[in-house]
Amino acid sequence: MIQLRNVERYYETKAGRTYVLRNVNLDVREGEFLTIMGPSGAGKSTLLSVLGLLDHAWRGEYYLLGQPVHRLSARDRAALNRKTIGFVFQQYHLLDDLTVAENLEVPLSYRDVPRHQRQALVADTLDRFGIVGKKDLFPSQLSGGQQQLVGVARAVIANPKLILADEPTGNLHSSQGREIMALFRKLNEEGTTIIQVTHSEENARYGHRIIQLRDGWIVGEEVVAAAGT
Amino acid sequence: MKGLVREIRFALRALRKRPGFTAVAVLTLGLGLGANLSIFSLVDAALLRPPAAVREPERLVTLWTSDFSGPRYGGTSYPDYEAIAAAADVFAGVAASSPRPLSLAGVAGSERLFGEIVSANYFDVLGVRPALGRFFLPQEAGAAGGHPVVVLGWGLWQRAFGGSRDVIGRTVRLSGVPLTVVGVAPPGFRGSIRGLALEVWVPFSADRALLGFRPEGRGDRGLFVTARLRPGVTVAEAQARLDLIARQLHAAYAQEWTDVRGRPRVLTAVPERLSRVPPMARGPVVGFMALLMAIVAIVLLIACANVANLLLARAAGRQREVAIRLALGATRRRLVRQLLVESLLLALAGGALGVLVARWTTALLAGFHPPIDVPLALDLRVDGAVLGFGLLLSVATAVAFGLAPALRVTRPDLVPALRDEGSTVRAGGRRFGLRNLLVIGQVAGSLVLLVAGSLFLRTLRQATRIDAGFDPENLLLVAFDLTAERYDPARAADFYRRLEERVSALPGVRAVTLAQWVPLGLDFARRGLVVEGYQARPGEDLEQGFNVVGDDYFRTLGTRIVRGRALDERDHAGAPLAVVVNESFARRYWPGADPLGKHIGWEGPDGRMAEVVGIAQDGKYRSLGEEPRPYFYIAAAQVDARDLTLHVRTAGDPRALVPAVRAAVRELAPGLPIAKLTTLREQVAVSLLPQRLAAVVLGVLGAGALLLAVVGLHGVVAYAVSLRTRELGIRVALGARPADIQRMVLADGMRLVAIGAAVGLALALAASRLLRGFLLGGDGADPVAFVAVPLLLAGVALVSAYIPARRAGRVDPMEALRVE
Ligand SMILES: Nc1ncnc2c1ncn2[C@@H]1O[C@H](COP(=O)(O)OP(=O)(O)O)[C@@H](O)[C@H]1O
Ligand SMILES: [Mg+2]
Repeated sequence: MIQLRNVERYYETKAGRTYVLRNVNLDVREGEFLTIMGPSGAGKSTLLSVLGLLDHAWRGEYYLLGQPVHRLSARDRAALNRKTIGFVFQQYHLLDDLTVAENLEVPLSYRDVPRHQRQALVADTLDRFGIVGKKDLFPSQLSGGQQQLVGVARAVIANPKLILADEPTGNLHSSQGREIMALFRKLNEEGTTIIQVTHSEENARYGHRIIQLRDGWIVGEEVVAAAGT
Repeated sequence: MKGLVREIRFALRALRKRPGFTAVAVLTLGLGLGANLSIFSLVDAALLRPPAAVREPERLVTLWTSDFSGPRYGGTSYPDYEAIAAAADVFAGVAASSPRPLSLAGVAGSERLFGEIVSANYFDVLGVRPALGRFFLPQEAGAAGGHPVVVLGWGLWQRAFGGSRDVIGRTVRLSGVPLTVVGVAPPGFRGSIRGLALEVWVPFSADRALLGFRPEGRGDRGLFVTARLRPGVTVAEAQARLDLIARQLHAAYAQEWTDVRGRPRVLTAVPERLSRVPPMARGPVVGFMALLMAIVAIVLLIACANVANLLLARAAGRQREVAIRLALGATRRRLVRQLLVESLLLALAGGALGVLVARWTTALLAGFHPPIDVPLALDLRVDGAVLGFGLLLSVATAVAFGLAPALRVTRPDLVPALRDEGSTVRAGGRRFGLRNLLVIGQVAGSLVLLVAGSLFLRTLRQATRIDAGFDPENLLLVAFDLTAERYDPARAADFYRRLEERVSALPGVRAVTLAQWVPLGLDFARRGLVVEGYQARPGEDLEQGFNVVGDDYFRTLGTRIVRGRALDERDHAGAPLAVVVNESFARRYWPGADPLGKHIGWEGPDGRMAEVVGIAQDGKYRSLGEEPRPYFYIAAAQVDARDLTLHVRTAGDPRALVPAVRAAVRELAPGLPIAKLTTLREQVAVSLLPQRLAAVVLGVLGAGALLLAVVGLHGVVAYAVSLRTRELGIRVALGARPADIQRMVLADGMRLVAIGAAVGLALALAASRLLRGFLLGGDGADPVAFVAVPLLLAGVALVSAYIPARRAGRVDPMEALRVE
């Protein structure tokens, strides 16, 4: 599903060029659950942005579902993002002035989904994530775990093939974190490809494969023996 | 005190650190305050400032005789003035004066100027001291003649005599009368009528020819009377004394002292400070000034709103600084004070700029001479009162725009700004209620001004389409003061006849006529009538407007005769009295009957009657906006008409004929000054001067207000975008296209514009009702004003909101979502 070839990302700073990603080569199969680990500043978030088509200032080759992303125009990349990708953030990034239901509707509103279909999708998703009772609450009225639940629901509502999650449990208690991870596994079993960033060994084991990132280099790769024990 | 000095230093540093913000704020406030100080200078000069060079003006009162037709404030006759002046128990002195145009013969031809004919005690009563020479002596009192002396105004002395001291004793010719200069008035002294440039003072006793009224006539009420109260005497006591005098006069002269409704006339004393504008005109003048003040107040409010916006935008950036200060133990009071000191410095700098603006506008206004034959001169300047008002207004302004933002930044519940700010993501719009209100107000205010301005513009446009009942193009008007030049009727008639002949013969002249009054001129006369076959209701006003016209008047003016004939050479002095009435006249007095052959009289019940020989089309006589009104025309040859205006219909540009006409006058009457030389087109323009001024002033203010509103809207949208960066980044990550983001930000901005426009339209509609009296043919429902102006405003607003919206569309989600 994903092929990265010699992907490089650097920032021009006063001190000169600082590389954040170097010579990254990565293949991700459809239906895979991949974990990216590494110390802070290693370039994990940057890599997710590249994969999520939010970053354009990199070099190399990137094929997503057979499309050469490196040759696409900004407009086509954005369209591909809308068709393919859902994001989950460490800080949840729910919109504070919108209710849970309205937050869920935001991605749909950018995907030209007709209004009545949107309502139906939102209702379905609320049901599926067990948050129907919360639909008219504002994010500030929810616990962190509930907020992230909404965050995941928002990421999947437009039915993406790929979910990118940047430290989704970083701000949660371990029990809440486990719930979210269980949810990811379920989504993965239903066919969604997932790439997550985490610092937690325990959470990393929910995936099929772990890659280690250091100073922008992929320095190690490990296949998880028995997923999910 | 020491704390304050330090706070000022801090504030100066803070302002210097953000030069862009400081410049925009000072400029905005400078414009708003400048507009207010300009108008205040006008109010100050017209109403507030005591007269210059006058001693103890608080002891002066003006005295008025009620008018025959009822109004309380009218002129006084000479015999009545003498009766009042005898009341020495309450008045230390009573002076009378009467302004009039005069001509001063000089080396370079005759100069026309305004002067006052005054009682000999005039300067004593006012308490003015001569700058040079003397004023009038007790033996120069009375109106009998024989004291040919004159006092010159300071300006005239400088202008015409180079300020030479040996002017005393020289003889000058004033409207043909030789007078000896005895003194010069002090600089700044402008006589008794504010706003009029009065430059010479002549005693009643100088020469009967200059008097212009009959001192023995109790019905000749043209005098302004000013009295100085005895020390300790109140206005109320003076009024009681005047009531007594009025009763005595009524008892003695019942006929002259009874008004149209049969009531005795009254005398009224008005304190000097309330009669700087004559009391009969005070209401409209004060109303007009109040309107101007209200308009500039709106502009200042908009400026305040704008600066408050800028401050609120800055507040976002300062929240952290304030939170740290509070954490370090600063009290909220002190922080607010510090922020207010900054606002005060901004306002004072704006006030200083405003003073410069006011100096510029007052100089401009003082240099503006409307094309009317009365020399206006208001002593417009930025004086202590204006500076004091500016200081007060600046302080008030500082509080107006500074307090709300200062309170907002230091609000304790916002202090958690120290907390990780990444944890909250606000969708824009709802949080900025105050800022939004300010923008709405600005849009509404500028819309009101622009709509009102365009209503006046339409009125001007409409005015060119109004059928005034004459053709205003290519008509030259030339007027003389033959009465003032002591022409007797025969000599005047001879002069006019020869002038008409001369001018008719000039190439490019189509027709020539004479008339006493120019259509839409500032003079308008009415006569009480006797109308054949018309039974007046008791107390009915039978006064109607009229004109005294020469042969060929109707053809020259382009006024159609609907029936019968025009006045012409058949209506000579010896012929039966003839009259032409207009259509409204005929309809009003002889509905259904044939007006031709009917008779009217204007010389009282026993006077001669004139036969109606023709009906002229209706026209506009006083103002283009007036309803059709009855009007009639008398033949100049059949009455004593000495002050006529020559009307010259030309083939081309009437101004081109001016040199030839001047030459003709010089040849016929060397030394005769031309009192007025203009075209009918210009005369019509003068009658539209108030509308024109309103259109220009409202347009300029409206454009300025629009500019401010646009800057304000831009600030609000840009600020909202800066606060929403994170939210916008999330939206992009969730799939929003740049166009989605732009549309959302624009919609938020334009929602404010739409609300503001709706409020503005409602207010403008109300304003158009209020202004209806000034608008010609005004039903107020003008598509340009109420559709095009809002559309224009919306367009401009769209552009100003689009700039930050475009920036929002380019938000980089990586940057926006980055966690520090
Ligand atoms: N705009 C930028 N300019 C310069 N350096 C940046 C910028 N954004 C990120 N970086 C650097 O890129 C590196 C990788 O960042 P990131 O991908 O967020 O790391 P991780 O998510 O692994 O902690 C960091 O060292 C960070 O300082
Ligand atoms: Mg990261």
